[in-house]
Amino acid sequence: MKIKLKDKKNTINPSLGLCFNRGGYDDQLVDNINSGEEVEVSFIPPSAEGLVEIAKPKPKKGAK
Amino acid sequence: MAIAANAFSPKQFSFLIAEQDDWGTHAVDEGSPNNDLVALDVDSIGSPSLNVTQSLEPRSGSRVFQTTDFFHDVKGSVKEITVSGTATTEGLDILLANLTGEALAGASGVYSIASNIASSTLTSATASQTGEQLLSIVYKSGYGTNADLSFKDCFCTNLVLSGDPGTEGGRIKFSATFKTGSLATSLADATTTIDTVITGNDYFMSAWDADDRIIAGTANALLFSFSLNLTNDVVFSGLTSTGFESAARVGEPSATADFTVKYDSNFSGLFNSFNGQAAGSSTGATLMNHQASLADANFGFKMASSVLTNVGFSEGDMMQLDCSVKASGAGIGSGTALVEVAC
Repeated sequence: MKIKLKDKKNTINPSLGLCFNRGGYDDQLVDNINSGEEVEVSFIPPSAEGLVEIAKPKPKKGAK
Repeated sequence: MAIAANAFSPKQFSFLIAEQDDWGTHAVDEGSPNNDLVALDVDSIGSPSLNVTQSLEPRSGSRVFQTTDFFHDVKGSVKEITVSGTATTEGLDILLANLTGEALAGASGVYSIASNIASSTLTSATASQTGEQLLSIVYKSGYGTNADLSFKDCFCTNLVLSGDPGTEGGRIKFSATFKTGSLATSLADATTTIDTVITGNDYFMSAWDADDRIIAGTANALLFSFSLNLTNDVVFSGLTSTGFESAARVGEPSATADFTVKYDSNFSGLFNSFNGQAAGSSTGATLMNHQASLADANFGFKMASSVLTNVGFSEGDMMQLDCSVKASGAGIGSGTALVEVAC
């Protein structure tokens, strides 16, 4: 799934070390989320539920 | 022999540690350059566990335990020494350097265990090592004549660092366990000189900053108490006439921490965080420090990745939460620290 910040002014604190995929902390991924990008992740950690949301798929060009 | 009129307070005894360069030679006997014997600020002197091997069973031929039946051996035993007290800079540096395997000089006050740490072995052939990987210990007696207990080839295998504002204002306390597989140097040693006496270089949990008090990804913890438990055990092998001739740190080095925090809006979601953890993934960082990064001369610790192992209510004057975390590595090939401790 793709996620994005709910509010671009309310970013994820990198010090919290929150993980969105298997394995350890990925600082680049958190940087990307904080920059406003939509990022592919495996899950949303409970501590980040208030900060991010699942991105709605963009409608394809020409779709009715 | 007349009775002795002298008596001693337990407080007249001291507990000393020193880096030891050569296997089998107590730091006091190593000659120049002699490593300083540092006094730890212990609450009580305790007693070493000599763990002698004894057989007290009657041998065949008699119902009675005869004097000749008595078996006693000290070579094949691992001696354990546990002390607790107040963590001061001089002693804590040596303890952390020994347990983590990171030399005092190289650590610059921040000691770490890497996610890909290899096993390490010291043997009777070990000489001139300068990484604080061997320690000498002295129980300095209140009675000054041939009464000190001296041990060589010691390893710090467990270190607990804790604090509680209700106890000594949150001053950082320690409890350390040491093991040695070598014969005691002497249990009637001549008077030992203390090179570095106990100083007032204490640490306090009150130095920690709010947003740098993070438990598994949840910040701004209001702490009632904490306890950090570091373990890096040693296995001894190769019995000789002077004890074991090899010591290896091969088991799991681990770091766990227990906290009691105020139940508030920041931590009301901790049950959900605990239950909602994803297998194979870190739940978040655990940090207790005065700033985001650890620094020399400031006590703090960091687990870059950690998982919650327990969460529960603790009913006091106000609702509190007991919670526990365990540090998790960043991958078997990763040099990222499992745990870091600064002092």
